Amino acid sequence: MKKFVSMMLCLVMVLSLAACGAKEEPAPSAPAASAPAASAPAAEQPYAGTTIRVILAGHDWTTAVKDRLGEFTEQTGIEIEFESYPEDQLSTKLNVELASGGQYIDVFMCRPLQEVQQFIQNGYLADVSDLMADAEFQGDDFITAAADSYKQSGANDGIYYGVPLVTERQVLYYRKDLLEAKGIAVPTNLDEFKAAAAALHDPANGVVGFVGRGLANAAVTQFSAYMYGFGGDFFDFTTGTATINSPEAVEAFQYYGDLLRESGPDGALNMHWQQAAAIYSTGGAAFCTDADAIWQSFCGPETDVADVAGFAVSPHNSTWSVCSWGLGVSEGSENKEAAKEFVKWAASVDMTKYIQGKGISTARNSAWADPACTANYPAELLAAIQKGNEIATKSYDRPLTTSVSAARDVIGSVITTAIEGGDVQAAADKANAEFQAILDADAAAAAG
Amino acid sequence: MKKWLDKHIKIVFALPTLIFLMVMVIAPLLYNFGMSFTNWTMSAKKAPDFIALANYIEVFKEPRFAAAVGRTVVYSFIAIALEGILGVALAILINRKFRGRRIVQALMLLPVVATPVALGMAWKLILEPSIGVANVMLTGMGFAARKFIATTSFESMLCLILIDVWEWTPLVMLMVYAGLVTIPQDPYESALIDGASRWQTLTKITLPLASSSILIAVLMRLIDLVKNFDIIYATTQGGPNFATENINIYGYLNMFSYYEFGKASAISVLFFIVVMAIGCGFLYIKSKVEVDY
Repeated sequence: MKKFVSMMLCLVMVLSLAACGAKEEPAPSAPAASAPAASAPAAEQPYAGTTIRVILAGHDWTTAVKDRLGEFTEQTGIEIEFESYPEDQLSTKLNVELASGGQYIDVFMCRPLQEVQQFIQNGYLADVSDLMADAEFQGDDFITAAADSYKQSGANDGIYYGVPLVTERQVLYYRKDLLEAKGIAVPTNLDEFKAAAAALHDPANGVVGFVGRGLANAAVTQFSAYMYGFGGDFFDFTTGTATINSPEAVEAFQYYGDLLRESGPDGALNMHWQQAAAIYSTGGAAFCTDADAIWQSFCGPETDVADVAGFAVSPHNSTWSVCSWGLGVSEGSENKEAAKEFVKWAASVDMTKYIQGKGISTARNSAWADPACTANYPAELLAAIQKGNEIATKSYDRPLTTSVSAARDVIGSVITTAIEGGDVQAAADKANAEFQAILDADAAAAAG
Repeated sequence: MKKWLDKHIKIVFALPTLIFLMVMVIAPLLYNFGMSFTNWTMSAKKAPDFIALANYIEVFKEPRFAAAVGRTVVYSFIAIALEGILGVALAILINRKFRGRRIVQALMLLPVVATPVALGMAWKLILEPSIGVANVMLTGMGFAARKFIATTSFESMLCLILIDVWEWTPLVMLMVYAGLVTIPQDPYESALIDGASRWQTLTKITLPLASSSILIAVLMRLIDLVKNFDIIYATTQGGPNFATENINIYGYLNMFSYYEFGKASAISVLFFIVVMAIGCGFLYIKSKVEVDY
């Protein structure tokens, strides 16, 4: 009996494996907005009485929309069960619920470049092409690359599996005061940038030349803009061949690694954007490259560097313009039409302009063209964003494949080697073989 | 009915626990075992295919898995040695009467009762090379600054081991101390009369008589060390460049980051066998070493 008890104890201990991160409590339904729209006639409310479950990410977009959910119910008669989770928990929750049929989820936020290809392949996302073709919805007003990121990669079937909400580009953040003090001009190419970062690197006085993401997986999306600048890419779409050991890619790995090692902070290897922002926003770095969507964390009004914040297009002059978040409808949903009504409302021109006016970079051209919607942006940042949209050569900042996270871990390992000053070519060759195996497995899975 | 109850009272009382174990432990375990022979990637379109031992073969072929196993062994071995020796030494120390003993006991238990993830986050900040307090103190005392957990060298692993030792040695101490206070005084009196030295008293009486509680403490810690997750995930998430990735983190990433359900299940099964083997092996050793009194 004693042995049995011991065995059972062992079993319990074994199975009380890893605890996942704490789940954010679902937010309560928001009250109606201050000026609710008048109730529409019953004929215009074909889905009145339906309740849909909407699961959103903990994001500024969600905060802006949450306060106006009551308006949607007023207009359509559709009740909303609303939940919100941090992005990692959201991803896990969606995967688990959608894998088990997804009939209890109607609308959800998802990241086109991180999980949408996997969701399409797994049959989680409903076709919303009819919505994109709806004249009232104005689907053609979306930034083309952002809308296209909701199509199946390589399928060319014209089917949209979601609508874009939030966009971002890589920009260069710089400290005007430091550059002026040393008479250094804003760098416009990679050589100037490296030299300027080295000249301003002064760790003894608490300022490093450059801060950026160095944490392997997280750094891939920022490193990619440098790689495109050097002419490299993750893989060849036509042949499915991995190219992260190409001369261009290796040069980019070397450049990014050298930049962080020679002009960056100690501990760059563990830095996600939050750690980079903590250093930059407190005046600890002269330069930083990261997404424009999070500019307020780097140099917004609440930071120490708000008065000396400079913005420019990234020095490699070849950024990406990506859609970071969008809305999808669950294929398993029993209320697909009501769910599409919600998407139509939440991503409408009016709502998008309202959200853009709050300083959140959206995916509609009309919102970017309306000066009233961009009044909250610093002029230099707005110029850098517009220039970024013009010169963007890619609509992805990570490999466009199904197993994105595994691929990012592999590619990130080369970034780590480069930052530590190791043999970049050898690391890139090894990673390329591993990445190729991932691409092959994804292709085989897609072929069924 | 009463007669039946009297006859089967043991089963009646044990039944809720057994049902719980069946539903929450045994059933998921069997499900997990079954899934380990499939290639399911959580697709709603495609049912899991039976692929026999392919997941196991893939896992065994992966250098990353072998490296994770190696790190798990090294991490567990060094940490259990340090925690065991320090824990026993501290237990013997606080078994003696001195002023403020209870306060010392209470203070030493603080890391044990704190939330591991919160501790991990705190240590991550302390060990951050640029702005962390550890390097401020080191350089303030004239030493060179260190990378701590921001390097792919063994230094990262060593930092995590020391955090574990700091956190869990007090638990070993407490468990051994609980064993020490139950040792009768008679053998000590006999030893005193026979003229035994302090070292002889320690090695011939204290340690053998406390062996049962020491072994239980070591077994519990060893199993916890092998399946360590929270501190590693909260500090390095297995990085940089997988330098601190153990089997548990590797399995977690395969499941919740790569969504390789079948492969992650296979890793869990292998992991389960390893932990069971350690547990059973240790219980066998305990039965051989234990001293009755």
